[in-house]
Amino acid sequence: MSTSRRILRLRVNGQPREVLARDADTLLDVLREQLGLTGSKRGCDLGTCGCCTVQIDGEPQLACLTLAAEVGEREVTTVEALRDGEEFAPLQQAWAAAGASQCGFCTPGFLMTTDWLLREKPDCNREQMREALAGNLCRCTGYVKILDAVERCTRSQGACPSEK
Amino acid sequence: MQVPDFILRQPATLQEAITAAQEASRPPDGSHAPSAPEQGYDWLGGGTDLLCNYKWRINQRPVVIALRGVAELQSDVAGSLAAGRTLWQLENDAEIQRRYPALASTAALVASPLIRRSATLGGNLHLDTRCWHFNQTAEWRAAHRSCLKAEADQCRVLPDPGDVCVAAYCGDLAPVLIAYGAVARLHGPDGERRVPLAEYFAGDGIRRFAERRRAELMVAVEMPADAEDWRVNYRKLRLRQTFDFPEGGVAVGLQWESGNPGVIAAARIATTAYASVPLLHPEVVELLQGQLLDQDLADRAGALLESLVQPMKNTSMSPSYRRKMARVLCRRALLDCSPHSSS
Repeated sequence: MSTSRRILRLRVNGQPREVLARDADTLLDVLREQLGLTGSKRGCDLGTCGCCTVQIDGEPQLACLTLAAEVGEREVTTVEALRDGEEFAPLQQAWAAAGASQCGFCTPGFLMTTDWLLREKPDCNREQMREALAGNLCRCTGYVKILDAVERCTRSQGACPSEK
Repeated sequence: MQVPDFILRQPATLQEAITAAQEASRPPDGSHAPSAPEQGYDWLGGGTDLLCNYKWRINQRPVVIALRGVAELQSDVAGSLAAGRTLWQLENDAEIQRRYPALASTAALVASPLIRRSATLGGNLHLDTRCWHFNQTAEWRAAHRSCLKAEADQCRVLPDPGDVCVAAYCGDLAPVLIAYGAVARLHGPDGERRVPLAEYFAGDGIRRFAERRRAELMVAVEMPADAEDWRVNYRKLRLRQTFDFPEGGVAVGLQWESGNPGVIAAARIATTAYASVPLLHPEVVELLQGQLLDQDLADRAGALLESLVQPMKNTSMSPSYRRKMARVLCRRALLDCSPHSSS
């Protein structure tokens, strides 16, 4: 069948962006292939691994299973927007300090989910962390250091992103 | 993986959605001859099932009709749950937690939190059936030529099933809603009709609905007025504590005799993942009715259910284990309904 395309006007990381996309293109296709935002990773591409997690209107969503044409006027935030200029965000610094990345492929997805979690529950405990991060898979760390990193950013530890 | 081409329709109203479906199911010559209900289009809820299948080149359609923008599917009306509500909303809605606690807790058992943010009630009820030989890449299937539900003319699960597909229905919400006595509200070109969910599913792994009509879609699930009087519980068997589809699932709904809590006045038992549709088990209901719920009764009901289910060799766990676990799931679900249980 013929390819159906349309011009999409998106808001990505606070900027208006215009792209020509197929009806069937996912948000991940557009972010990576057209906008050059390769921080969001293509892992399983089936919604299992969470490597492609972005935020849409502040809520974590799987970019690999979201049609770009369905995003509309909602605000898309990718991992590239986490850092403040040249400085890594406290969350990213915590990730490095705790050794929560090994190969690093899952890290962007974890960061985007964690960023939301710490806004919603700045005092979250480890059980709440596990539940919130249950859609993000890591094949290197065994998760302990990831939870350590999140814990460093809870309000009680003084590095909560929402209060930066 | 790129999603194969399709034309995306984005209706804003129910009527626009139905019109889009009618146009998509018309034959290319423009005649109005009826075609198979799902020949030309797919409805798109959250996309967490459909887009995965499309990426694997499974049964893709030329037109996809997205339902996210259809206003009538997004908000509940009294006594009913809109089909477009996400599972995330269902599990976190204080009203649903209070009135239908088993529905909220079961929604939280589906897949992962990230999937649940997109997946919808209507989408979960219409989850496509699953099988080792179906949910595979196009290359894998081409090498094996082994799935009736995809491109092949033979089945690897049963040596000679005729044209019957034994793929398993793996939705978690359907058995729970059946245990509550819920009713599907459908809307199509001929107007609206209501079908009890217990009668909605019928057929095999390919033809899964009793009376699916062209261009018809589920608008809402109506909860009966007495739903809150039922004690409902659901137990799920799966490999991991996140993401996995059920390998077996048992939902139990019980009503106590008036003034006699613990004595079963009425019961509903439904299972998922054991067949191509959610199954009702009147034999177990008959055993339970009028009886005092205790360990012995729960054991006997579980044993009876184990003898009734017939899982196929088409998921991760062995059929014999899944069948044995039906007994355990049923027993635990029943005992958790007990007036003395804290759950």
